[in-house]
Amino acid sequence: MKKIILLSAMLFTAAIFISISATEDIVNNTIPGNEKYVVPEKVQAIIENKCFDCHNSNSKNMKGKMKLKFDKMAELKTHKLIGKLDNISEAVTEGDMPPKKAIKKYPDLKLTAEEIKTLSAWSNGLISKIAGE
Amino acid sequence: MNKLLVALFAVFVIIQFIPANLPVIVKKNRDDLMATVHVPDNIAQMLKTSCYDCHSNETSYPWYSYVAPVSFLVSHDTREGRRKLNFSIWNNLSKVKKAKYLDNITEEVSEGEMPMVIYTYLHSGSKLSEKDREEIAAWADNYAESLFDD
Repeated sequence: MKKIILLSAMLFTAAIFISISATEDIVNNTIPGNEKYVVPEKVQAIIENKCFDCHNSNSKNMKGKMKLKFDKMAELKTHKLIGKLDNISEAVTEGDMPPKKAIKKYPDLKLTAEEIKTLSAWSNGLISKIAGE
Repeated sequence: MNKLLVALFAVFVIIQFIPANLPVIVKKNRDDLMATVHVPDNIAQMLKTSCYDCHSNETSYPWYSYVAPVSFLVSHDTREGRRKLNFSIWNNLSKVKKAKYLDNITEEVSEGEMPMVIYTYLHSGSKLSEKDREEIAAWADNYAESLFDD
């Protein structure tokens, strides 16, 4: 009986660790079979700090969630992935994202010129790799 | 009270002299989506009725869109619409841009964001049913997928 309790306690602890590491990996998708979607650490940091709060599948921001979910990017088919990446590049370059309203409330969300460059270079680079254009 | 009415009327008359700069209408566009890609009839019909007034150069302006202040609104919305997506120049777009626009069409139409409520309210027959929305979204998604057959 004691062994069973001990065993289930161990399993429980293991489960917690697994779920924690799963949540940590939400942006840096490494879904087996999809090697197309690659997110370098530098890009991942920007996304986590400035985009992910609205653009994830559990977001309370319905519009943000509808348009883009960073935790689901690796599951997208090629044409969808390209569409999303090109939208990201455009939105950050033209200053449409993060939304002005959000920046007013949380000034830290504003992307620096350097970050905009990093994000658009990343998405454009990925697009050319995937689409061959 | 009478004075207020007179003042309002004066403002109304004066703003008629402010140019609204409605975007120019071009009826024939050889790079148009419909002219260069086969679009199923039912989809083509819906795009023409519910999207083309703002998302192409073939805008048809109702009489009141020439009257200020409505003209300012129509001018702004049409210009913005064409800037965001213009079916009249479709053939000039790269595959990547097409994929982006088709992704946006799928999302905006299936979530009911487009066409804008003020537009469907003023243009009878432009409102899309749930089924219409599903059909347009499915068409856009299939078309985008066909661009990257690998």
